[in-house]
Amino acid sequence: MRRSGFIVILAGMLIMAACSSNTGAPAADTDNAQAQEQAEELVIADQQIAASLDPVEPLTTSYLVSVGAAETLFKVNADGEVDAALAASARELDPNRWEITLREEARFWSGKAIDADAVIASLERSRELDLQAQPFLDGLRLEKSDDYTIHVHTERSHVPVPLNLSYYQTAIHNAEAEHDAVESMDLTGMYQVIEFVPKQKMVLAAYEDYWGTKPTIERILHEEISDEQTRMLSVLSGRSHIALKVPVTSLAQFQDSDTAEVVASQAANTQTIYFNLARPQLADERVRQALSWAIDREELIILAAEGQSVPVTTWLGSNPAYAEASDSVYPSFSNETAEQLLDEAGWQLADDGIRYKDGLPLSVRLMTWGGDKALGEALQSQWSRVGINAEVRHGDYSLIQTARETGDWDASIEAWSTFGDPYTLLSGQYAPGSSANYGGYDDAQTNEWLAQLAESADPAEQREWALKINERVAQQAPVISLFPRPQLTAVSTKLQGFEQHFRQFENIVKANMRWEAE
Amino acid sequence: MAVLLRKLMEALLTLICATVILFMLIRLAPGDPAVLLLGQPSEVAAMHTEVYEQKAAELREQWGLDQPMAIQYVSWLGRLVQLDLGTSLHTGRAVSAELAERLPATLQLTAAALAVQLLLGFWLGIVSALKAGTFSDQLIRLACVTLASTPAFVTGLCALLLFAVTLGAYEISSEASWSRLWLPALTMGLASMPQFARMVRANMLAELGQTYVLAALSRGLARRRVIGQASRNALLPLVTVTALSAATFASGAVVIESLFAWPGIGKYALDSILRKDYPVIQGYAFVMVTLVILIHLCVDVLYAYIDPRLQRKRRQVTRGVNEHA
Repeated sequence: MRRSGFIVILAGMLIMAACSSNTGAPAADTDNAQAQEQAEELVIADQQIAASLDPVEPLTTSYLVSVGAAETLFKVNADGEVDAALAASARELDPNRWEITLREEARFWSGKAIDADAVIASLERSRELDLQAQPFLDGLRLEKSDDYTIHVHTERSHVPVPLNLSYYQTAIHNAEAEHDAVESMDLTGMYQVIEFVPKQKMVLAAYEDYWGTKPTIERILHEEISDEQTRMLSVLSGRSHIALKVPVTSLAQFQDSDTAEVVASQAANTQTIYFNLARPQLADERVRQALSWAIDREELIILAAEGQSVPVTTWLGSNPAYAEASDSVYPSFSNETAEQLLDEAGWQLADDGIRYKDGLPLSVRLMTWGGDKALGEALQSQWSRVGINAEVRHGDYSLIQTARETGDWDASIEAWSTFGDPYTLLSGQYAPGSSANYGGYDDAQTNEWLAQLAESADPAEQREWALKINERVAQQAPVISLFPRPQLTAVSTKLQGFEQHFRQFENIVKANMRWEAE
Repeated sequence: MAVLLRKLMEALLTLICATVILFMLIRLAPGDPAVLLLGQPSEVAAMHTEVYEQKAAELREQWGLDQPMAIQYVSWLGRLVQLDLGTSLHTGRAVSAELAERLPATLQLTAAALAVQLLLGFWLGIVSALKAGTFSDQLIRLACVTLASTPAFVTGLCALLLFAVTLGAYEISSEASWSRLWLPALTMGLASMPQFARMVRANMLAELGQTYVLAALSRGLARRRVIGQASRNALLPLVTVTALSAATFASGAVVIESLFAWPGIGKYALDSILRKDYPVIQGYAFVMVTLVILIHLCVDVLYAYIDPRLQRKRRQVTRGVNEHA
């Protein structure tokens, strides 16, 4: 029996050893080949990758832009300024008209010229087929001026057209191509897709005839590793060079690592608590203000984001262009102010530590999803200190959607992008009936200011209106802003050229990325 | 033949019941596939409610989700009869094609994990039974209890940390290659091995206590030969356990596949459940239920052939019927 046991172990070891080598090549040769391949190929591990190749399919362009396969006419730099990208330049001819000049030297992968006709056809296809592109193209009429010049007519005056055309949803693609296979897709980026397995991997090679700076790294492998721990281990093992969406709880793993480091940037979106204003206890402005005063955002960031963010007390505060708005209301947390407001609103503290009014406890059921469970629990703890009976329900996002449809919810946490055209953003959040106005906020003053923002012709004036609306909403507290969602990326120490950016899809692959040894 | 027909009818009934229950359950769960496809708020910078709602409604109509559930089921069943599992709501590709792409990876992992379970389980179970009460037995039992009480994802993460990060002997990628098979197979096999080893041990001990074993030993037959004979009888009931393990591995490797980024159907099904991709979930469930039923049918048939007692009983029954006639 001892001998049979030995045979089993030996067989297992032989199988493992055999499996560890793909080819029958000598070990040294295999190592060299692997090292060579490793030197040329940048491996990016992502939670998800594209499910299709057609840029108008939901989220596909996000992945295509992030790996350098697709391009937009304009890009936003790390300071929040709009730069020309596939377009050569843009200028505002009058309040309702922009002129965009294209690059004559730029070509699609197929060799077709990226002229005015091609760009208009691409944007019109996106407008027609991609719902997510519509908000950026809504109210824009595209007209060919000459072969490489486009005039964009806008319904509203002073629409920031280059900014709208910097979103990944407006990536330029050959509208005549099928985009249903690697061979038939036709984009413009510095990397060309050469192999694609949906939801598994996308292999890209440097496009030789690229119009701009040629990338240093020859190949990219963008692969899906959905488990966040496995993604981290993949970078720590040296197999992947970039791992996206690192959970804050994994930070400790990288502290002593020579292989990889975590690059943190704050996304231009605000972790926000949305209140259901139809609930009697939350219809009272003083209660909502008290809930905001009772939040110690510094502590929250430590407990829920491992210290990887900064507090913001107004919604626009996470937008780099509105940095001064970050603490314009509720500059510091104050339980005394919160208690005073609750007392004024008639919610009296009882012996059990909970506040009551007309025999009913002051309860808030907070719904969270994704990685926000710890955030919800930290809020629960902070609110309970001022006598609020807070409850956290963590689950799938669909539970929040269903609760909103039935109206059976008190509060929920979400983080919308705060970077973009201020009117589109603010009306989307606070105009009655708009898609992110979950709680039914309807304030006459805010609505009037939104209308003035829409009509405003001067960018400086627009900014002023945006700041006023942002501040008023924060004071009325139909939502409570907490902090920008931290965006953590694990990057190999061998890789140079990775840049932090508040829009993640802008920063993953750059032409100047290179290996340390080079 | 009558027995086989009866079994087939039972299998068909099981299949219909399982698909009906699953069809209803996935639709009762909260979540709208149209909304999930169009994008969740945090992924979309701005959205026009009216256009969004209109598009979502169009998608629901296109997918037939605006129809009563019974009609949706009948329609799905109608397509199924023509061997059409439908089209994925998320990728727009045929579900059968997507399943076919991923099934080999899952079967590869299943076979390897089963091999680990059987080899280690038999070996440790038999050693443990033969050395019952000794230090070796205690050690094996301790190892089995430890492995059985450790969740597979913990074992998997520790294995990845050791072999991929510390030793650099394993590559973490999304490929289903032979060189990447051993670690998920080992993890999965080790997770299910303890139960198997314990059953082997219990069966062996029971068999070794039988009169025929004692008689054979007392008549001077070689111990090795007697144990060999006893183990054949002891291991017979384990055919069912092995078959069930195979079915569990094939249908329930979700955690391991996700952890090791193994592109099999378990991970595919999990992603589809999160996205409420109804045709994929239904297709996956149909294939899995069919597979489990087939495995059970095979076990029944196999038993009839490998267990001489069953054959003898069947012959006796047949003879008795003939004599009575």
